[in-house]
Amino acid sequence: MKAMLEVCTPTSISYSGTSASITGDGGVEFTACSSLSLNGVFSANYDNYQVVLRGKTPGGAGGLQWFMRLRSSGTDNSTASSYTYQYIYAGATTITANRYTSDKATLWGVYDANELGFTTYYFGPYLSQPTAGRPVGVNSQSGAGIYEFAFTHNQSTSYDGFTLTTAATSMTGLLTVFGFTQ
Amino acid sequence: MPTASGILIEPTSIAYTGTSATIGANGSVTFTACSSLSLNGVFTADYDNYLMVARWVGVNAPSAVMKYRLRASGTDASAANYTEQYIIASSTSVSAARGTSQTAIRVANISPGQDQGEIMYLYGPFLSQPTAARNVSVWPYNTTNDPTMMDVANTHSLSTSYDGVTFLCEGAGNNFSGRVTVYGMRQ
Repeated sequence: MKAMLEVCTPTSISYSGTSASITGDGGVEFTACSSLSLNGVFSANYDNYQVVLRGKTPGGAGGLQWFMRLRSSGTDNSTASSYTYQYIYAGATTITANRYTSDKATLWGVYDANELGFTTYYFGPYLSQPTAGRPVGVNSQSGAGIYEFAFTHNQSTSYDGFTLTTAATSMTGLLTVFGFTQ
Repeated sequence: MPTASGILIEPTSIAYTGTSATIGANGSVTFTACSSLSLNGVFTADYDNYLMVARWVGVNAPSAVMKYRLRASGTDASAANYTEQYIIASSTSVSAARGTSQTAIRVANISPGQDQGEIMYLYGPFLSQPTAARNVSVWPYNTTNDPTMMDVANTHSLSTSYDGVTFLCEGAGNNFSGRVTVYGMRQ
């Protein structure tokens, strides 16, 4: 019997900030990083992936976004207008939505220093076709909110990793990449 | 060693209408230009709940809708016993709708030539009780690859035990290509 998910341990990581390291189970723990890159997590072994992350940013009011660029052989793809993302935010009885095009995808947004989390599903990042993704997260504006994203990246490139950055000063947390067996 | 959360399930057999469909070495199903794809023997008494993960691309599908039907012993449950509730978010628009007396479970819409992904949970399909399903999708809305978010909840009212599903790409001439994998959630 084959398990549903297998941990995809990065072949290497790089970061700007205080520290980042690969844990014994293959996750990545990071402290006060302005950027964090994972290399060698996407491979021909899997089409689709689940990335589970708990994290926080230093305090500060307003939407502090976490961004992602796909990465191949150690180089981020920052092609202008190649990432498009859609979000919905539900707080109390109000739902808002919008779509943006950028040189990076937004995966998550936080409003305070609480440690929260989000899960991102990646569809086909290693395949030489456009990549789609679906982050599902928790937001703590006014206590608790639903913050969900969907993104596409229109480049038909095979990617083996990704880089996280933030609109805040830094990111702290732990993430693990899982491949869906097939 | 901890017990794995889910187990990949290989269909006992598949059927399709289209160019090709094959079961891979571990049990996932890869298909090309199919208008329908049936997976048999994926739901069993070993698991109550399931996750199906798919990526696919629609072909000749200007306004196709991807759906699936529950299936028992090779026969689809195609009567109007499905109810759906969905949310679509596209740019600044968020809308919702409920459809009753549906003949299949809605997954997402498909735009021509756009790669998309689906996370599909099924609750109790093999049990002799009504089945519930919950789909989370990213669906590129048009040929410019604009992502649209679609969440769907479905129920099927019959208390029948089902062992499979049939995916359908609705609309004349529409078909889809990709890969789907079924997992049983350990219990």
